[in-house]
Amino acid sequence: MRCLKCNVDLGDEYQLCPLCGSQAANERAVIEGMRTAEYPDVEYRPYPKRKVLGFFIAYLLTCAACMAADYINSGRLGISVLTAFILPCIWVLFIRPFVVKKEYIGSYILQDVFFLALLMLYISKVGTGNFGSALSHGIPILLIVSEIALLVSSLVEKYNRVISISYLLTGAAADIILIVIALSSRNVTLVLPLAALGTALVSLAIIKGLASKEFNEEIKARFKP
Amino acid sequence: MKLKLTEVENAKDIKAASVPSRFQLDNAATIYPACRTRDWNNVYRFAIIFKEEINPVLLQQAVDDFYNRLPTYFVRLRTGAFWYYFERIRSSRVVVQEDYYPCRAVNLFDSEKPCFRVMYYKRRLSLEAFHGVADGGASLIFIKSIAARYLQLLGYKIEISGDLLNCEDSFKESEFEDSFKRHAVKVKGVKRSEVSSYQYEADPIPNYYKVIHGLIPVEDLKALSKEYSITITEYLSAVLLYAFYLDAPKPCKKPIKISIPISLRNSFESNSMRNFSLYTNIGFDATKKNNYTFEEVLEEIRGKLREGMDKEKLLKTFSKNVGDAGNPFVRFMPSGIKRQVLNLGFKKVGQNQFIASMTNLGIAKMPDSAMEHIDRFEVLLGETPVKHIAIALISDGKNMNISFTSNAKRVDVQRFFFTFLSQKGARVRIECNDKESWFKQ
Repeated sequence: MRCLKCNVDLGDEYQLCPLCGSQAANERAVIEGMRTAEYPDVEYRPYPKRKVLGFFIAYLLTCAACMAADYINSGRLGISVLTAFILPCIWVLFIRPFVVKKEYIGSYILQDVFFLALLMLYISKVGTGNFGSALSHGIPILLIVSEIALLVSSLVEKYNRVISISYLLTGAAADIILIVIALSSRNVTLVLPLAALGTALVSLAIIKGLASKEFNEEIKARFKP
Repeated sequence: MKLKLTEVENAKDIKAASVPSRFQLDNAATIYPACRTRDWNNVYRFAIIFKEEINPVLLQQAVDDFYNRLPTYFVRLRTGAFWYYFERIRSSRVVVQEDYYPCRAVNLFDSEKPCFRVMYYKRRLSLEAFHGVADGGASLIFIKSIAARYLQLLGYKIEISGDLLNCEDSFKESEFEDSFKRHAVKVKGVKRSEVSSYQYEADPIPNYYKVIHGLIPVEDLKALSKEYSITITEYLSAVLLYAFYLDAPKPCKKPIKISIPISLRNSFESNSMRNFSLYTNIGFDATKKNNYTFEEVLEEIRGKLREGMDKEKLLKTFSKNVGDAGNPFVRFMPSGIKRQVLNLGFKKVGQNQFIASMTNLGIAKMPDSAMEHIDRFEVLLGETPVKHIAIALISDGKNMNISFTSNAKRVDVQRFFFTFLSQKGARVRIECNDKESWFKQ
């Protein structure tokens, strides 16, 4: 087929010229031996619309419901504000990274431990008037659970080993800070921070033993000038 | 035939030790994550049209075989404190059947898929890659190597020669280097500012990509360019500029310029399989007079491309880019702020300097044993949210394939471009992906 108006060859399948829209003429092509490379039949799909407004309205309604329930029960507004803050945090910190973005467990744990630790400190301060219970119990237990989770993920998945080492080193540093605080404060006991450090070191030793070659190679490649 | 994932070999472990599991973007790639939007990122496509339909299972196996050979491709993007970085991923499962328009965005942050996809549809094998991973020169080598390996798996004897990569070789460290940093020198007083260009106006349709291929025998183009003693690229640049000039409302208030990417591998020694290209803007001042003829446009741009490809000039330009990226203020700016600054610069300054990009990949060479099974090559540039048209050229030595991509339905520039060439005596064959324009409604 040819378009006589544009003076160009078209494939045998064409009835119209894609350039000018005029009727294709059943004439012999000037360039011989060409076959049309077909594209798939496509149904146009616009970009998915943003669901921000829906999310925002749902969030506001949930907050309003929480506030109303809390106000009816206790007559206080403070805890309702906390609830309204926690709801998006749960989505942003726990559900979205793991379910939607599929983050690696290490980065998932790191950011969640950070924000949960802040929350524990806040609750400890509101509940007991100081940070003692969070520093001696809540945060060390959180760190122990995280370190065990990192160890398990490294044992199950070979690829996570090298990444887990850096996260465990961060955990060990946090444990040492807790121990220093415990040594300098009467409100904080030393047992759980020490247990957390022990867990981190044992986990590090196990993973380092498993991943030493890969780890050394990565360090070598990264710091090579 | 649809791909059955169960038939595909499981993803392999990361073995190539010379590439760290996380690494920085190269100097040219820095801009691409910044200018992406929620639905769009900078993707280009290379395609090889075979003479027979493609077997997806063997194609996936061919891609799997390159997992350790080219680990810099099997990466995903991650957000760091100061900038984005690439992280290698385990999966090489990237082969999918083509089911939508070309050059649509790649999911850059997917933990299971790399920043490129390999697609098949009947006889067409396509590689669509995010520009941050590698430039066109590297990706052309990659797709040719995949095609050669695929033909080998089909049972043909294909000799791996020229720039083709052998999947059994190990990855070379020189392929991982950021060649910009290696060649950069200290420069002072290099200015980037340019007069802005007239912009092509169209009604863009989001997530729509119209492709018009024009196949022209190389000998016809050679004859046309020989008349004016210029190269084919210069000749086609002049035709394109003239097409934009005729399409523009008169009188023109701004110059008309197009951007031409230049592979630096020809001027500077590099084996890098990442980005190592730059661009030059060429055009003419359409405000000077009202009725330009094609010959006048051609005289205006004569020599400008060669001038833009001058080694010293290119060195100064990318050295300035490397210098700016190394500035401590820029380096340690938090990535959230840096992204907004770069995005603004890209949209308001960088994109205003030219009307469209036109890239010429030259001749795609493969051994004769492989060319027996290949019909032709294609290359497509994805358009950007602010540019509604892009042009890419590639040749197999016999025919030049000129591909226009556009996110608008109107085809005035394309029509003028191809009818001008056919009027001048070139034989032109047109193909289009939008079947609406094939048939009577």
